[in-house]
Amino acid sequence: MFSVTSLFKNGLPGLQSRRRRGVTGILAAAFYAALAVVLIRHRYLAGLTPADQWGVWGTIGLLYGGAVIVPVLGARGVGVMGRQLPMSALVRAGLVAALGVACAATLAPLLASGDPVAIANAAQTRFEAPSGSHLLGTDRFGRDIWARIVYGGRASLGVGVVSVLLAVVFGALYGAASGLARRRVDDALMRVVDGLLAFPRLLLVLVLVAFFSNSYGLLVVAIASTGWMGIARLVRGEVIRLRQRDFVTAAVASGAGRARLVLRHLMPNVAGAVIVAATLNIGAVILLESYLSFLGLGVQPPTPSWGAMVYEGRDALGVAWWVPAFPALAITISVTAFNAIGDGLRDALESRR
Amino acid sequence: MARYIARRAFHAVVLIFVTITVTFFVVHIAPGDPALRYVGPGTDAAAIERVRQNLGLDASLIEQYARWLWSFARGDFGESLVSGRPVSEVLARTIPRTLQLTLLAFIVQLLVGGAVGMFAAARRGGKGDQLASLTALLLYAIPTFYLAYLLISVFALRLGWLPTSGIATPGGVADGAWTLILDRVQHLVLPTAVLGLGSAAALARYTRGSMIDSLATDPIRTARAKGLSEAHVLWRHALRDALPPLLTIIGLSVPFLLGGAVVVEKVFAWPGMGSLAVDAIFERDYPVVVAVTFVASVIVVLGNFLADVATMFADPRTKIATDTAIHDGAGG
Repeated sequence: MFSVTSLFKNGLPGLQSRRRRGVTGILAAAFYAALAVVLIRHRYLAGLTPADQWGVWGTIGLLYGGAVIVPVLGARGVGVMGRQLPMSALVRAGLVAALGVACAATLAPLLASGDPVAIANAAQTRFEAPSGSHLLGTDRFGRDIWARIVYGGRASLGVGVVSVLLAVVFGALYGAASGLARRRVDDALMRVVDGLLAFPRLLLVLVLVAFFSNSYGLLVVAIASTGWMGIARLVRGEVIRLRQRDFVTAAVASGAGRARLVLRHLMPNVAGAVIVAATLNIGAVILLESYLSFLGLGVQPPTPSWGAMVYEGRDALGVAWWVPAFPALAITISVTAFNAIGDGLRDALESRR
Repeated sequence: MARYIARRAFHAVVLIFVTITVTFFVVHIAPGDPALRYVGPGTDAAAIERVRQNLGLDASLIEQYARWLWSFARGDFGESLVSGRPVSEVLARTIPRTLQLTLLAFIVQLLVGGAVGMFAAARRGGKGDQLASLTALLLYAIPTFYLAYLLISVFALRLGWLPTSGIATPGGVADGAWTLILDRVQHLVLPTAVLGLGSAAALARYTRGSMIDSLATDPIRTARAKGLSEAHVLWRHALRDALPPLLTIIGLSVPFLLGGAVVVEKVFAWPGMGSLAVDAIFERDYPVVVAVTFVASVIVVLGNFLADVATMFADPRTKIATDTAIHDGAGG
């Protein structure tokens, strides 16, 4: 069911381009083949810090999403659950922006004009205004802002994508289990969800990160473990709604087990709504990571992340506005892009009903 | 109706119970011995054991949990490891400051978010809608603290109209209640604006969506066909129908505001619960962290409860629906 070739041909399950083959498919395949060659030629994965490796997995996740984005851009509309829906300019712009940011982060070594971490010793290179040699200027240590932004995208997007993927998988399974369970079990499972939703998310993540350890992996797990409840509620509601439908009865009557029922019959019907929620969630998590960085508990230096860059630039606001402004812009563009995609897909899904 | 409220209240109590349990387990699963926080380095094992006994850490997990519940029920949160003062005393000082900030931001959110959302929905597809929707989308995506820096650099540093941070002018102002109040208001303007505008952007998006849905229904078409003025249709008919889902969203904005307050209080050096939480987290001041988390979740649960009750008054259908179908839909 999940093979790489079918991904390139069909895109994500539940969100499929109408034009399955043809020019756009070939273009997409060629694009990713070229990307793979570039990455391998640059010995991309060798000698990376763990944070960078997480970033790579995050961007690979985004590129997996890109496997649907490129064909979709060529198509006239987006097919959600087997139906052709018009794709608004908003969704299209969001897809282009998200893909652009993901590519920039992935190809950071090619795009960056300088080392994102090395601290220049010459005093005159600090707080340089944007110019030809430093596209977006330099910070207090003479580090190139553009280089830090494209590298920082790995951490910021990586956290967003990986933690949302984790949250979606766990939340969907939890929600489906709750929706299919007996009433008492369902009630108990949902009270746990309500209880976790009663904490301000930022506070809960802060406590988890501070009390356990401050590693990149834990950051992702902490964000994921505070973000699955919404998905679980959504899936549970949909499962309860679908449970009474004939096709479910038919599947049960023909001997489908619980796992098969969920994976083959229920999930495809819930996928659209889950993808919308997940997309909006990625935007929220990128912001959340920036708040954690601001409070000193996000991705740790020297690994650049957008939130930490804005924070470090706070004192330079009067003398060098570009230091905090461009990373803030990067956050705003990414969050807006994911929100635009989510909003647009939701509009398309709802107008179908 | 009373039965519905009672059920919701019971639900809220169960939730608070769940949050205490979650907090208990997070703190007890976390690595590191809390007893070591109370003693200096190089203390001998017997002394550490005494501290453990005093803290009740030698008891079984169940017993500790029961004790924990009992002390919470009495409002006893222990003592701060850093200052040695009772946590309830620290909370009594910081909670009002945070409530001041978040309540004002809540009002800004309602007024600005609601108005912009209504405006955009009334002019759906027009220039005004596009401008309002784009502004909301961008405002929602700007990191709060960057927005704060921008406002500080313009209104405090360049124009000098407002103070950059803090809760009062250092050294105090001239005596008199009015100057004191004015001073507090001046210090509140920027934090409130930053916190309120961020969540107003979210509310504006929901309001627009909900209003557009409600404007597309048959009763609205009938109201327009009757020749009612557009304003009347919008405020009396459409809003009434759009309100119930919005009340839920407004209830859900409470944790969002409290989380935002953590960041905003830190930016503006506002000595409330958010700053307290961050400092306590960094200093590993367990009792304070636990108490703040608990208080925050109680406020959230209370907010949701009020939203539920308000929804019931705004939409009488809820009462009937929830009595029969609480398990299937509204129960979650």
